[in-house]
Amino acid sequence: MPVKINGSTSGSVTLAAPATGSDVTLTLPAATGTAATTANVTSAVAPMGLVAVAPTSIANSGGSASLSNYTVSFSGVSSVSLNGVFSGDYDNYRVLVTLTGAGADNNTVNFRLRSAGSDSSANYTVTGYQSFSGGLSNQSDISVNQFGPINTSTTTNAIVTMSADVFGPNASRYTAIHSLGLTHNATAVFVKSNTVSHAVASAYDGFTAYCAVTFTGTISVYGYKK
Amino acid sequence: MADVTEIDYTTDPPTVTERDFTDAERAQIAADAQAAVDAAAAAEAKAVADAAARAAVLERLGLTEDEVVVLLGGVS
Repeated sequence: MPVKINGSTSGSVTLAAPATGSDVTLTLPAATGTAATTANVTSAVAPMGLVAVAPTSIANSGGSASLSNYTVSFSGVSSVSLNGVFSGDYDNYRVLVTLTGAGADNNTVNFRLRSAGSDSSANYTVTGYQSFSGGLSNQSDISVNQFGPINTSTTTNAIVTMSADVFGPNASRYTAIHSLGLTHNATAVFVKSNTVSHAVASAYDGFTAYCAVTFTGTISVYGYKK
Repeated sequence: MADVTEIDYTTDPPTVTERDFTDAERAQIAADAQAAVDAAAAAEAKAVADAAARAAVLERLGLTEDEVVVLLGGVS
């Protein structure tokens, strides 16, 4: 049976037990205070930082691709596109790529921004630093229309990873991308560190990874929640 | 087999659509392939030019590759 407590001027609070169930005890705090509602709690403890983002759709050429638990997995593709990962929900995003196989060593997997199902294939300016364990390193402006290349590897247990921070892709201004790729395969250790500006003042909702040979792996996208 | 498989996760269950490349996609793929060939050719040409320049310098100095390694403390 509910217990109703009337306010001194108006309003009331009713304590009501569930209609059925076991006997439980609600213990009030031994201090003066105001009870928080569910909305208060959600607002107070909602996570800030990286929040996993799932694409609204994906597309792949060759092989297969699927989405599970906020991660896109693909196998034997020559390209895979993630649509609807960039939105107004977050300003900036982090993209994590891990490749576990490829049709050949040392081809580069490149990335392009994408909007409404179409890749943006121009207006990228890439300034990068590349080193590999043969002892040579280069620093150069790379006039190619992509971001974040990583070298493929067919080596079992090789490391092929890339992380990229994408700044404001869904805003109608230029997009900046900072990417770092690491490949350790049978040939060498390759490190590709690039800054990329995409000089188009348009909003993009996703990106495409593509390569001249097939590749296998996973991509996860996270939004930076303020 | 279609060129592209698209899965729309906004529907329940997800909608799978298969299609061939558009003309624009075919053109972009061809351009990417040509760019890769051009980049490889440019890299190879630069490597050849660098090797020739290095050999010319070594000849002028009268040094061998091994002697250069010794001079640089094992770093070549």
